[in-house]
Amino acid sequence: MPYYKLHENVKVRDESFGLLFYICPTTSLVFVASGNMLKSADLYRGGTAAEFAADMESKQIKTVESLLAKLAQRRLLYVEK
Amino acid sequence: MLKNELPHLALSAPVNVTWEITRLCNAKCLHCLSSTRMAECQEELDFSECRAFIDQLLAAQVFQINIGGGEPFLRSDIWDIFAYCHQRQLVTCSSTNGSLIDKEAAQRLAKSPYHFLQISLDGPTEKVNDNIRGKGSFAIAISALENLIKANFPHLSINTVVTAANYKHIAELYQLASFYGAKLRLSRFRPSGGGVKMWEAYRLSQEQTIGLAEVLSAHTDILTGDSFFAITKEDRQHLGLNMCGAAKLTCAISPDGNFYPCAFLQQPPFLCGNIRRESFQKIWRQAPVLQMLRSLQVNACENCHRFDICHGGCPAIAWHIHQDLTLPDPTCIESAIKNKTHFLV
Ligand code: SF4
Ligand code: SF4
Repeated sequence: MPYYKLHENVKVRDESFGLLFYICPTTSLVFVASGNMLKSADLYRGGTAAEFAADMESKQIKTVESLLAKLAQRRLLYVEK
Repeated sequence: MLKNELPHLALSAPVNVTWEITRLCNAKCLHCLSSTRMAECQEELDFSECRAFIDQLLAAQVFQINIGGGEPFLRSDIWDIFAYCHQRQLVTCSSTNGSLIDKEAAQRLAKSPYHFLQISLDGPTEKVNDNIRGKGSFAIAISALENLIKANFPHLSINTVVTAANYKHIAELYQLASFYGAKLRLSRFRPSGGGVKMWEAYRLSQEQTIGLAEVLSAHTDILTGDSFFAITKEDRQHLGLNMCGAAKLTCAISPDGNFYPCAFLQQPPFLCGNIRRESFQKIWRQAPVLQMLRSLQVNACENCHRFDICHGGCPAIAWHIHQDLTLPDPTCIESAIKNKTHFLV
């Protein structure tokens, strides 16, 4: 399972709608309406989708996985396969 | 993923904070936002108060401080303030006239990846710039730019306040910035501070506003400050958030610690508190002025076809002209187009 961690040039914080990312080299923002699915502290720490979704039902793991893949595609997270 | 409606929800903290860190200045720009107000400013925050304030911003997870003044480099402890921010990976974006950016300062600045710098320049030639920013200011700004380029400073922009006195020269300023490998960033001129006296002479006419929108559409890599969404065409709308950020994404702190919703709303009715006496986060969450701005509706704009991308434009301009935040931005492009149509009919 891929391992995800926040990119070193990116910061993130929790907001009522989900996550707010800040990309340091461009000072740009990305608002992600992820609700309670992911917590910023987990992204700073790093882990797999299964670890991030440890307390969720199995079908939610798929949603977390696809969200993590999208964030990695935007280069907000880096991924180790 | 980026949704313009999301920032309308109250954020837990601002994304960036404008911090006018000193009232000292060695220039006399005619349109200066701060000139009149700074004279009333009480004692500046000292270094230990600055450190405590930065700690509060870090605790609130603010991402960026926009440092201005006055001229921030005139503060004797500015390098310690930068170091305190950058060691904690807090991004700073400083606005300077360049007078204190010699070779050594440029090399020092280039060492931090967390530093962005805007050099103020209001014209591509000495004649245009110095008429606005004072004799000798063009040469000073160019020397700072050259020192920064030689030091390989990466995050450099030229900041221009667009007025009737320089709007014709934006394309040349763009070329000048490109020559130095810098970005050009435009700010709107507002009738605030020294801008009140210069308003009639410097405000853009309707034709000039429409002309500026054309230039901006032709150069989508020109950066724009707050509230340009009210004066640019639809083709630039995807380039940023189309909303007033005051009280939602940003706020401003004066040299003596007063907390305001925005650098352009620093009048007594908008005072939210003072960070010497109250916690930053408490003011952000509870100040009635901020809550009022978060729910501000510019009803008079609701029938405008641009409402979804503009929401009424810059309330600071409406307030400075009409003392009413609920009126449309009086200098928006739609009013320029409408009025121009009137002239033609
Ligand atoms: S009041 Fe105007 S200048 Fe201030 S944040 Fe809003 S749009 Fe920008
Ligand atoms: S009328 Fe209102 S919504 Fe329309 S462009 Fe002007 S300020 Fe914006």
